[in-house]
Amino acid sequence: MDFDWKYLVEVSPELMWATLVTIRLAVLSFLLALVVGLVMALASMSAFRPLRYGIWLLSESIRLTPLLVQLFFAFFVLPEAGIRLSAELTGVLVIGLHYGTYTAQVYIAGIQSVKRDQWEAASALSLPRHVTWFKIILPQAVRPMVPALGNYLIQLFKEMPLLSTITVFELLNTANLLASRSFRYFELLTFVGLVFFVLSYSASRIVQRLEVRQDRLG
Amino acid sequence: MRDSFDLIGIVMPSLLQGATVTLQVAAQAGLLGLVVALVVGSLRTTENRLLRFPLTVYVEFFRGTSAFVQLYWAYFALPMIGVRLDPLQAGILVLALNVGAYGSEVVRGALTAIPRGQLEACRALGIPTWVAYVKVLIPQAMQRVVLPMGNLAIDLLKGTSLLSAIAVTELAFAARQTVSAFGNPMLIFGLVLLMYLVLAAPIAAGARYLNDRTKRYVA
Repeated sequence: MDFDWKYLVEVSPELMWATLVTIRLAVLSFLLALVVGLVMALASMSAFRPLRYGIWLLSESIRLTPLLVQLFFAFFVLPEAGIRLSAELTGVLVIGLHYGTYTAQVYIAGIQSVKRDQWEAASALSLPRHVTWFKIILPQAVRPMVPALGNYLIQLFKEMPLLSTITVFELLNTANLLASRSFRYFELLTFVGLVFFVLSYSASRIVQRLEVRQDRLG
Repeated sequence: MRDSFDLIGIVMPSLLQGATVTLQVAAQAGLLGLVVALVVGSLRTTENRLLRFPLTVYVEFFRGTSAFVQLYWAYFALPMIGVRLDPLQAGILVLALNVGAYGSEVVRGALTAIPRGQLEACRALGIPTWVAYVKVLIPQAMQRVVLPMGNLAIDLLKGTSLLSAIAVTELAFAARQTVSAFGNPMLIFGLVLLMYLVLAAPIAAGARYLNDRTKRYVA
């Protein structure tokens, strides 16, 4: 069997569009995850014990169960509860919530990586609370967060094909639709694999470079 | 309420049947993946570039593409070039190669993290090399391996749900079937999520326990 390049060029507008849809949904989900993670991180550092415990239970349950089944759950249950959302929005919400449990951990680890004496020094200088947080702690905490968040963005991006199971026409589903007409499964699915590889491999090289630079800064 | 209990009684046998398949798939892919991880991970620490290059390509390729796409490729694209796998074979193979690629990085990381001085110190003390490995080097590597391997095992267990897309009758597939037969997605999908949680929680707890136990081996 020979690889039909002409066919791929023919359908390239559809594939290009689907790639953009995939990237757009990934970015939206990740932005949501950044916000959800922040809320979860703050809640799990709260002095109110039941809240801490509830957040722990929620994030463990989300992390220990398959994203695919969570997508099914939301896709079939939300309409029954009277909440009608598009498949795309449902997907963004579920993936954003799922990855929010991961970004929460990154935030917490980042804040904990700031040495204790920074807090002590700030209080010895009797700096106000918001100055301590925004001028002392967070600037130091954010730096190690960046590569870790980058890695989760890449991981999240690779989950996007799961959205095909809830009828979202992202890259994989689009390729399947095209293949069901032309029967060019080999060309189309190889192309989809290559797109994911090129995008996530180059992104992971960027993250690696950030990590190396950070090690040097110490 | 009464109806819900009745429904649970009706769907439970097929869900449990699905969970059995899930565990079988996870166990087979896990064992195969572990072998791949150990072999590839240790070979990638050798000096031989000719050996290292294809292994690096394998690892980067599996880590760089999505597991779901790999599964589709193995099941729908491979037959086009004459390689036919049944759904279960394709699923186990893809999951094993996937977890093997991630696992090999864990193995490689653990092996390269142990300072050379450890082995040199053993030599200086006249300890035979194999004793040095069994008593000194591997126990320290264990500490670095336990938590990431536990996470990979959980990822693998969750990853078996992808096989529902190629009609392997594992837990997620059984869930969709029973929902389309009996309705009530809230109850059935909720129950299934709980079942995955029950399967995964012991792995997470076990990895944490082993992690604490192996801490004392680290110099």
